[in-house]
Amino acid sequence: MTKQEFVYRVMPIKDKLFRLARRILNEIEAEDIVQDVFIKLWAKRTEIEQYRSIEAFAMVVTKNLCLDKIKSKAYQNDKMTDWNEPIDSRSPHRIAELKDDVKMVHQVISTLPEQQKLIVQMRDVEEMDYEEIAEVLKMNVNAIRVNLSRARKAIRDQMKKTHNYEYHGN
Amino acid sequence: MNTTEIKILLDKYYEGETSRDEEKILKDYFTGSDIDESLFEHAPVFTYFKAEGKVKSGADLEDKILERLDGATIIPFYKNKTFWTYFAGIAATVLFLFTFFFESQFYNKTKNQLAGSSYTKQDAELAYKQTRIALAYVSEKYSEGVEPLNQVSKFSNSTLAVSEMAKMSTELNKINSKVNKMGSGVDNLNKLSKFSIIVKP
Repeated sequence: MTKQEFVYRVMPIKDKLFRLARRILNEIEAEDIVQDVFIKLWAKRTEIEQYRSIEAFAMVVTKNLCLDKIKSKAYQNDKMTDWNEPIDSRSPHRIAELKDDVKMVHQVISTLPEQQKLIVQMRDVEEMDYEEIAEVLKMNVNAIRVNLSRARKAIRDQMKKTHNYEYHGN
Repeated sequence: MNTTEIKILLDKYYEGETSRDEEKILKDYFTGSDIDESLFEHAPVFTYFKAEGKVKSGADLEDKILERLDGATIIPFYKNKTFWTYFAGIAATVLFLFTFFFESQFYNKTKNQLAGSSYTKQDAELAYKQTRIALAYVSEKYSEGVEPLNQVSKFSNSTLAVSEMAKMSTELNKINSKVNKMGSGVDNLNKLSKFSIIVKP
C-alpha cells in the first residue's frame, strides 16, 4: 500500500475516529489520539488486510489508545468538557427548550462505564451494525446488546431523575 | 408513524432489540417537529445522538496527520528500535561464530605442535628426574623451616609446672596446721616450766 493509497482510504474516517476518542477523552486529547492512530495504522499497514475493513481496524486501534490513555497514571480526570451545541435547523424556540436537556444527556453518558460509552457511540451515534461493533470490542453480539440496553436504560432513568429533581426539588 | 407505533419501537429500543432501520425511524421522529407531548422526554437523547454524529474534528487535523506521516516515513535507521534489535542479534551471532572458529584453530595448532615435537623418551626421563630433585629440595627446605616451630610444644610443659604450684599451696596449709599444733605444745611446756620454778626454791 502506498502512502497516497493509505491516506485516500483512511483519511475519510478521521472524524469518526475523533468522535469515538472524544467519547472517552477531551477534544484536544482526542485529536492527538487520532494522529497517533494514523501513525500506528501506517506502521501496521500489512496487518490491515486481516480485518474486514480498514475502518474496523482503525476503530480498534483508537479504542485501545483511548483506554490506554485513561489507564495511564498521568491522566487527569477532566472529562467534563462542555458539549458543543449542534447546528440545528429547527426553530429557535425548540432549540432553547431542548438545549439544557441535550447537554444533560452528554453529562449522563460521560458517567457510564467506558465500554458502554463506546457501544452507545458506535450504535446510537455512528449507527454501526452489531457485527462491526463486536469486531471492534472483541465481544459477542449478545453481550453488546445486553450492555447497550443497560446503557440506554441508565441514560433514560438518569434523565428522569434529574428532571424530577429539577421540577420538584425546589 | 403514529404514537402507538413509536411507543412500541421505544420499548424495543430500550431492550436493545431494534434494528438499525427502526432506530433511524426513532431518530427522525424525535428530531422532527411533530412529537407527541407524552413522548417528549425521549427527544433530548435522540437529538443529542443526531448532533453527535455530525461533530467534526479540527480543520487542521488532516494537515497535522499528513505532517506526522511524512515524519514517520523518514525515521533514520539509527532511531529505529527494531533495527537495533536485529543488529544486536546479528552482531552476537557473528561474534559467537568467530570465537568458535578461532578457538578451534588455536586448539588444532597446539595439538599439532605437541604431536610433531622432537622430544625423546630420554629427554622426558631427564625432565622427570630433574623435577623430582627440584621438588625434593623444596620439600627439604620446607621441613627445615618448620623445625623451630617444634619449640612451641615446650610452652605446654611450662604450664604443667605452673599447675604444680597449686599442690604447693595445699602442702603449705598442712605445714601451717602442724606449726599451730606445735605452738600449743610449746604453751604446755611453758606451764610446766612455771611449775618447775615453783618447785625449785
